[in-house]
Amino acid sequence: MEPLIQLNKVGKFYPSRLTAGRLLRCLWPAPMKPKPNDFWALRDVSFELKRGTVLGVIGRNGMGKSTLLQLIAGLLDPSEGQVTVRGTVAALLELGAGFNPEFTGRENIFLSGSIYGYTQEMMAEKYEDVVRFADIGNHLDQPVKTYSSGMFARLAFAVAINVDPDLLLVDEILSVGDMEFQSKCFRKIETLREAGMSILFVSHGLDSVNTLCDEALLLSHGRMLEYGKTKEVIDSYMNMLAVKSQKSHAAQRPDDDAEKTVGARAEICDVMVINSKGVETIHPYTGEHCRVQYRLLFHDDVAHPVITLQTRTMLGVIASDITSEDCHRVLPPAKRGEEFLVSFEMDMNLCPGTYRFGVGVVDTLEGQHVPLFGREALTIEVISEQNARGIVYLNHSMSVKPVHTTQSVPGHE
Amino acid sequence: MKANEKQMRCYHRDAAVSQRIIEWAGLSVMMRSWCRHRELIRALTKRELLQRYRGSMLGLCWSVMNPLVLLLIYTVVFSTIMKSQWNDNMSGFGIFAIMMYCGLIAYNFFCEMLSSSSRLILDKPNYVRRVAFPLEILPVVMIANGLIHAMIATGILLAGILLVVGHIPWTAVLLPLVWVPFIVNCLAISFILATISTFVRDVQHVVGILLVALFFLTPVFYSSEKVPPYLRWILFVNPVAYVTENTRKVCVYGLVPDWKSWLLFMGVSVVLLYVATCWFQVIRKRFPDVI
Repeated sequence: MEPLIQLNKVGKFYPSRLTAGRLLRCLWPAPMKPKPNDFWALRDVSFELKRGTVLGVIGRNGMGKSTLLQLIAGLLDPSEGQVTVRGTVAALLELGAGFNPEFTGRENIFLSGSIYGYTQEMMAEKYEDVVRFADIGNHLDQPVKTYSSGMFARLAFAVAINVDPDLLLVDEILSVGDMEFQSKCFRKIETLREAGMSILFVSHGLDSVNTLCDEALLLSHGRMLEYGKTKEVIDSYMNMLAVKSQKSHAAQRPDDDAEKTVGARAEICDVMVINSKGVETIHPYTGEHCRVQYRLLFHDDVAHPVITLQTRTMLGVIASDITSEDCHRVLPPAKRGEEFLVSFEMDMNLCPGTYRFGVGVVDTLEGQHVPLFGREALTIEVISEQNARGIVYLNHSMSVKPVHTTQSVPGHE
Repeated sequence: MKANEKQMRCYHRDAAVSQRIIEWAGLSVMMRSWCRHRELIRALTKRELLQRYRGSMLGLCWSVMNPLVLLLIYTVVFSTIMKSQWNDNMSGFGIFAIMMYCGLIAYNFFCEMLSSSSRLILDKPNYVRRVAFPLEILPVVMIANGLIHAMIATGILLAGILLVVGHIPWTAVLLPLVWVPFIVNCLAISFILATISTFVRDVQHVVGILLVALFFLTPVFYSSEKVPPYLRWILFVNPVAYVTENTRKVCVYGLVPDWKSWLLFMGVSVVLLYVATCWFQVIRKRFPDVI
């Protein structure tokens, strides 16, 4: 079977500066030639996507992910190369894409339907499904501009998957829905995928890419760095990030010091997570034995220092709060100018997701904690091959055994 | 599932091909798209119509009130204060008002068309960047909207003629025919203006000035007979003048329009529309770069 999408040496440039001359030039039909300092959002990208495959596109911000999706959705024309798509594309590119804010939800369903090439009658057949999936109650008769972003996403997603696209383009949109809706979407995506729909998925959540995608594509500065099996691509992306963060650490330290020393009696810097292989990472695996370490500097004499490490979810829920007292370590009084290397050893028993480490140091005066320094230090993203949702990973297993009962249980039908 | 009924949106975009200088099939591609999206056009037109007067108490009545109030002012100023006569045979407050109203309908339609064309694409960044929206239906929606207002106004005009003159000549049924080339012309101008204004935003301001000039260059409050021969060419190139003149002919004088000039106007308009759509199809690919 022919591949669903084919990209051949695709490139797209944007004029770097829109001078009056350039704008007027746009009106002349002859092809626009790139100038040397024009910005190539995407260049030399070639790949094929088979039907029924889920492809994750990863890369940092501004690396061409959205441009790639827009090209495939047919919103943009390539400046060079060829894009071929053999089928219908439903795009969930940005919130409210294609919705007219003044129209009600109901009207927007039909409007988007006709944009996807459905007649009024065909859309009427699907209408019930869309409404049931979106599940936004009587907001359906309100103009969409009054919707919350979550409701928006619900409706957009409900429409997009009910028009039977051959390819669904998803750009981060699921992250605004609540947990229940997200899992509903993932279930639906799974069914559609079995029915042969392909999905192109752009996300910064490496974890969802890891669980959802068969293949992944890594973009950097508009070029395709890697394309292949999800795990391999994610690994090389993580390496890239690690190298990057080391570099930026080295570059930023002097600034950081200058900024944070003012007024503070102590200071913490160089917070990092070392994984079980002894490599610095911000993407530890669930259950992996890791070390969180940082440098602690005292700018003043502190009699009873206590150091703390907090792990919070993105919503601010404290997943764990450890202090040196909890670890039964009493620190000696610290002198001005002394420096320590602090390490916490731990098992990352966290479910996949994004977490923040907050580090701090307090002084204990008559049983009261006086904060000396504290900050949100590091954001990590725990990834896993396991399917686990929530915060804590319980290292679970389960078994089901048949129970032999003689007759039907009373009260059970 | 009725998948085969669905319009398959397969496409192949080749940079080398899509950068062709001219899309010769521009107009036919567009007409097919208009047919395919007729429901969308209807929905958008209805919506825009309702939206304009949403929240106002009199609603669609404003569409009637607006030109009537303007008409009253103009008529009072020109016929009563400035004492200008329509022509030698016709005079009077009523006849002046009717003659002016014939011109005002076309002028208002054109006015509306010019000013909304100069914002047509600019106002809808969502449709350009975020969804594969058929942009080519936007001018059609706008024209359809203007036509509805023009039709309401024409209804009032005919009622006025009946009131002042006493009867409506049979030639009034030719009025739609008079409008056909004008509509084609407006559609073409709308495509051109919408495209230019996307890149050159000054167009909006130019249009503002142009509209004032056009009011005086169109025989709205004077008869075209009063224009000296060496300035007649202005009326000749002005599409609003054509409609104004011929509306008066068929609705008031009971004359049949001059078919030769009708054919000429129609021919020019179709060619203009063809060129405009072919051009639009090429330039539209650059909209996302600047919006």
